Amino acid sequence: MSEEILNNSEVESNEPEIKITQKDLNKVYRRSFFDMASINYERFQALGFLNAMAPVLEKLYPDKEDLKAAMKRHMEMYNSHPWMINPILGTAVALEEKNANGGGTANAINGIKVGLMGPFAGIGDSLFWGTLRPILGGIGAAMALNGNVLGPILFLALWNIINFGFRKWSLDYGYRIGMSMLKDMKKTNIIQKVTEGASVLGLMVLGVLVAQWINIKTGIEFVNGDSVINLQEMLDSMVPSLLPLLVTFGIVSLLRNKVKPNTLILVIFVIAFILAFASYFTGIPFIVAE
Amino acid sequence: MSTLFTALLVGLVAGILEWDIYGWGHTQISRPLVVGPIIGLVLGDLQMGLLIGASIEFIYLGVIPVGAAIPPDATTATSIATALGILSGIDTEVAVTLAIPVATAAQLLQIFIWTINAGLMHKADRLVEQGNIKGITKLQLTGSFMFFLQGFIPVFLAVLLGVDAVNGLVEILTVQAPMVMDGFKIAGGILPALGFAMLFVMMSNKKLIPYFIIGFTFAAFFGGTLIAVAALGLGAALLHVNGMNNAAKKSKA
Repeated sequence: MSEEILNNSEVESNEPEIKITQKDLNKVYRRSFFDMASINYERFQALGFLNAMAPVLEKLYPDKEDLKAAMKRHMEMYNSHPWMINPILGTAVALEEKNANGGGTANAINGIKVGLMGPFAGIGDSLFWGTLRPILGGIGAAMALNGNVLGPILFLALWNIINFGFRKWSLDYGYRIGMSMLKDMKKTNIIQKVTEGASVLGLMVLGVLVAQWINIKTGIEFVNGDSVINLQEMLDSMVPSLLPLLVTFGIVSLLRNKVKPNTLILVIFVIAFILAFASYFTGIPFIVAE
Repeated sequence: MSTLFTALLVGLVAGILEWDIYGWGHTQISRPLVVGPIIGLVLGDLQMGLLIGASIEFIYLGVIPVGAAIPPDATTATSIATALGILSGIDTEVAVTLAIPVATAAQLLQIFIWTINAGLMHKADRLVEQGNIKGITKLQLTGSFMFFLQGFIPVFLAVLLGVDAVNGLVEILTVQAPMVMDGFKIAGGILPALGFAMLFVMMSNKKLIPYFIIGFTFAAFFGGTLIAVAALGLGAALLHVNGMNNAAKKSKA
């Protein structure tokens, strides 16, 4: 590396570059099949993402403090279609490789992950779950109803050629895209631009997630003479998704006041159960369970 | 075969099939179309398995998981319907009809696992503080195993206890004590707000908050999809970066 490249990073590393090989990518590929194994309502596939990245992070960050920082990055909330994690993993590997070799790309990684996971989830859900599976499943089930055992076999074979093939190809492709994106770093100092650009995209997608993926609706109704006023409809006519927005920012301010996420989970559970029992015994659906 | 042995065997197979949904691979061995004939093969009636599986497949063909939503658990439902159809000699149609409330009840179990798995995240946070990357893999496999149990336990019990017990349990969960499950459902609706809030705290600085407002507005008021807003976001990101260029030029001049 020549010095003019590094006009932005503080220290030039004297250590030799650590390269990610195809063998490393293949390890990530194998682990990507476990991406949903610890899925949960708080951070969804965060641990699955970190688990898939683990062999690469271990190789890239021999220094324990660097490793901890990288692990922490990938424990942030992540959720997408299970196949679409692969191109995002590929890009994340490229960014981590650059970062470990003094590229300073760490801050761009989560912005890019969030920016991609939302639209990729939309594409994956409609293309693979919504289109491919009903077509293959419909053909297979029609054969099976006639007592033909080839129905399920054909369904499994076609689906898995695409499953294993797409995940392999898109992981490698994501890595190559990530690397070529970072090659331009020689021309201008692009790191800050990538970081802020990714945050812009990520925050806009986060706005959609807050509006559409949090499910808090009230079922409270007021009787006013002959007419019934539905509180949720009233709220929707002012600001749709107002309750999810308020709850999210309530939690944001609690987090900024150093309340631990663990405590918050407990509080959410207590409130949810109080609401559920109160609704059951009073018959008023304070928050609709669905 | 004694009932206990049959129940263990069918439970084990059902657990492995269920595992495919979230635990590993997404190879679709968990689809009713595949589950039916496999359970049928285990119990010695492939044709009945094929028929029940394919019938249930058609019911759930268009039901897909979107975003953070969990669909009814058609896998456990097919395992139970096929096993009981073959073992208790109930009609194919009755077995298929039984599958629908069972799928809804089993879905609640899935919601329960999604909720308690949040605990794994905090165990993981502690491992991150220690830099223990090997522990991360073990933790992920623990989560994976939960989804095996999710198939194994209900199917084992259903085969062991029979049709009446299954109907009774579905009744308790959905009619007599719905508030417990409602509690989990409400918590499941709110919990993503915590994940998004943590993400927001990490990503936002004052300068960039307008972009969050724009994204929210498009989604909430105009029903903009993720893909539409992401395209808009890409445009906004390019504009923002251009703005950074111009600012840099001005400060030089």
